[in-house]
Amino acid sequence: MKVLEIKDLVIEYKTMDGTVHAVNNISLDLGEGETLGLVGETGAGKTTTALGVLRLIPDPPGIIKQGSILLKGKDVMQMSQEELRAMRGDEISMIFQDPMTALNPVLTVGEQIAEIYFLHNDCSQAESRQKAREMLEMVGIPGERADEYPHQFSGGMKQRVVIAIALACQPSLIIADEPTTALDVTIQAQVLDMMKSLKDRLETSMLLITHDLGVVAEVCDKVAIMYAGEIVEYGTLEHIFNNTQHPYTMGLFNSLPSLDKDADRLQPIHGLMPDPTDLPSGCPFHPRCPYARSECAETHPELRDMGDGHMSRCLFTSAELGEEHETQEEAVTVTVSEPAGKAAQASGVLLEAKNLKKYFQTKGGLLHAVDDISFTIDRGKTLGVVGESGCGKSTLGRALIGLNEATDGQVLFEGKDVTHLKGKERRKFLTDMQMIFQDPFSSLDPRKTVFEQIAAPLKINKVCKNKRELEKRVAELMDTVGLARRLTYSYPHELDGGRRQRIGVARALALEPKFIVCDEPVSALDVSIQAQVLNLLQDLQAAKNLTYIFITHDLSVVRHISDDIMVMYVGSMVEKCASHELFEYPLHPYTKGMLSAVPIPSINVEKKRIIMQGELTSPVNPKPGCRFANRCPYATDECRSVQPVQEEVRPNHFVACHHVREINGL
Amino acid sequence: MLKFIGRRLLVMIPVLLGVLIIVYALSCFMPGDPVINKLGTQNYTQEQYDAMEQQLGLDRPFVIRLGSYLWGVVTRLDLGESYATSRPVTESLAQRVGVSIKLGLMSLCLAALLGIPIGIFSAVKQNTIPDYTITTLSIILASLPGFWLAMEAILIFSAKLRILPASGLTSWKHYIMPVACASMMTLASLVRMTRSSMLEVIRQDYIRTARSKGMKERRVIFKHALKNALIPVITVLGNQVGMVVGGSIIIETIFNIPGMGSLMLSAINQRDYPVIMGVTLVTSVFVCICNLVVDIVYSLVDPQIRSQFISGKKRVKESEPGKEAAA
Repeated sequence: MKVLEIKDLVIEYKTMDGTVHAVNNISLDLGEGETLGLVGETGAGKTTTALGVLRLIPDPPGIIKQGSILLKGKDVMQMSQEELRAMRGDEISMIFQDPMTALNPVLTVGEQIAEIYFLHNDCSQAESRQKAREMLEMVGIPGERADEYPHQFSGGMKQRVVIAIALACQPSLIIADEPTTALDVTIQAQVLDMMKSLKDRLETSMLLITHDLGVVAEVCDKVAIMYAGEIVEYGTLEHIFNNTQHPYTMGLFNSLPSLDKDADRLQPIHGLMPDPTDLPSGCPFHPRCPYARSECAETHPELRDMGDGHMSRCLFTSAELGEEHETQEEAVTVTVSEPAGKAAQASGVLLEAKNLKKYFQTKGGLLHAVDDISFTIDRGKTLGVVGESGCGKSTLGRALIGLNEATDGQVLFEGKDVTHLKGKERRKFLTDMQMIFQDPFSSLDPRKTVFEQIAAPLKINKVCKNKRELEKRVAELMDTVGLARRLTYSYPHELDGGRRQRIGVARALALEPKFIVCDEPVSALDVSIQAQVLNLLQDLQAAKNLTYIFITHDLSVVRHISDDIMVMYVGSMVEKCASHELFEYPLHPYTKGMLSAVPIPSINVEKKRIIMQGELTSPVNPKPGCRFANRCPYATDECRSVQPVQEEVRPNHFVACHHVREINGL
Repeated sequence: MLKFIGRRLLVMIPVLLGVLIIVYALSCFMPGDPVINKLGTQNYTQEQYDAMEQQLGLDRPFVIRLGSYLWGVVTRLDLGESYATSRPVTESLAQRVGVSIKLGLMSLCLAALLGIPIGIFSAVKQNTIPDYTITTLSIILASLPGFWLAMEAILIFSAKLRILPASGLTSWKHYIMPVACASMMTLASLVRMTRSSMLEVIRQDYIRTARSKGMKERRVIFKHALKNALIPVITVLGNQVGMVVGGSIIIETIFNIPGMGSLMLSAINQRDYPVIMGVTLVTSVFVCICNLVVDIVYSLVDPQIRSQFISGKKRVKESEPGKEAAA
């Protein structure tokens, strides 16, 4: 019997702007022990579907308009409140996206797990607590930590607790909503690994909601691709990955930067997800589809069997779509003005950091955020800085530009020491060096229009003589980054993430800088939008000979955009070399582990995973020795007492590890 | 924790000194002359005036007066003598402080005991008729001046219906109207605060987690939402302490209650500086202590704040293995 069968589910939200068609006619089923991946971008209706299964849609404004949800043959739609409660947590449990907010901050984690037994298994308080401890042990957390509160755990640990809650009653179905999205890549690997093994042991089925095709390739048996509230393609992993039928799925794959192939440009899906209150006629994807024909705008396609249970909601098969592929990418017109044109000829070292250190005084002691880092960047090149959260990569970026004044060491820009500039000199220097910030939602003033956001640096530095010149310059900048001029007087909240990040880029470009620090500029964006912004950054670099430091935790993005890559671990640099070299010959044990932890969106690659145990050490008052020693499989006493120095192991390939030669047989 | 309380008590000292200095200066520079008030007549000679001024100690310069007053307070807890009655201020305060604190605490408790549950109810029933009614009523209550409410209450319950006494404080019946009137404004703001804070918490992810565990709505609200929602409410409650004390001047005067409020009012009218200072000091101590209590309650509700208190102790423990390693 099927564990879950959803038929013709329609969920709507009534809002002031009209009816949001969040889920339109979704049907799917899930067998015992199976894992189904529900994939799509923000706003595709994935989470709404999941909440619908639990009948947890907030009502009002949400309403399950029609459809049936059968859980082991019982209709969830017909259940009374009492039956629903008995089902939730016991038969179906849910793992939520953000472990930081999914746990109640004022209750101990033990209580939050024990509650489940207390609610569903008629356990006494003491029994429940005992079982909660056992469950914690099962997800790899010492049982005695049951009396601690969520804020005392790291993100990865919290997600383990959330998983413990979900698995507590051995439910027949787990719905996991982006369970690893908020986690670092090595922690993600640990958590995914644990989820897989526990799921197999307890024989549960799982509905995995994600936007990450890499995670899907690793965990799922079947995949459903969602777009604008509909399933557009449905099939086994083999079907979806090796015989892609729907143009949207193809677009998703093409938007992804890859770890193992070099592509000059990504091919993003152009345009945006349609407004769910006003869906386009015919196929909802046709306005963005490179293969769209006239009938696509008229006929709404049904899910068709392409053979062997592989369903696609397209009027054509991939063979019929054939070669008619036109690239409809939004044209980016890069206007190069005079001074940048001259700079384009120059080369050589633009920026150099010498033994840069940034320490913060905290309550617990001295936090070594950036510890003795040296590097150079050539003009027109991109240095990628990768590392997990808390490794000091953002602080490094901020120290370079002087937002956090360096504690020690030097930053040389065009040979001039700019470490401790003040006042006027600093303002002048900042016209050459700008920053693009991580979160396009919070880095823009919500009360300023697009015009004001972009004009601000121009006004502060009195670049333009009069208002007309200012307007002209802002309009040019908007053209440069591909923002339509009709948006000049919109406010940030009216725009989507990709457009907002374009404002951030335009603002950084306003003063014609030579150097830009990009701090996770695409990590808050969906893959198709991410690809658009990455292409924009590359085009601008080519046209204006810009130099970037590109800070990110996403290894495939960094490979795609960088010339050189520096890997950071708890404030120190562990490896630095050319981009392709790093991915072909990673030498440091941390880099190796991190690379092997990245889920690859392909099912044809056989891969060996090194699961790194443990978590990042604290950067507060670090002990002497290699920072990675406590997680490193090769660590010796030497590693625990002497901090390794950086050496050139291969040409232009620097590694800080005592045993790099033995490990790699060099 | 004890260290924290000790530190907070120490911080109170400069606060209280500051309050004393500012109020002393304010009362000295406000118009009106205590000497004339004490003489009780407009027909006095210059000699009489000077003698009285000397007797009250007002002939000395302001800074000296302030200094000797503060010295007296700090060293002997001596608050001086009332100009009007010539009795030590501490004595008349001792008689009245109990009544006022009793009234104040009773009205705070009433406000909290009614306001928080009503707020929760209103939040749970968001956008229904009961919710709209409660919200409207609380806005009306919050905007009504206390003295008007008190006088209307006397008119209705004492004059018309004759079920409650209008003045004095001799039986439990006497407490009903003053406590009710003094708590109304606090009640109204607590209702609104609890409601909005509860609505905020209900939207959080962990409440969704709790629901997905399959628990009854009642348990979701009381076990998971309430504690989180109370954190901002406690802040408001702490701030309201000052309001209640200030409001007691009006309430005690209208209901003719022998508390600090009415003492304060007559002292202000008579420019009786030592009494004004005395009442101010007691009130400030009370408010400071209430704020301390609020902070302690905070730490009971919010484990993150609690861990800040004990982090000092924990850090010592953690650093020990490091020392061993170094050795």
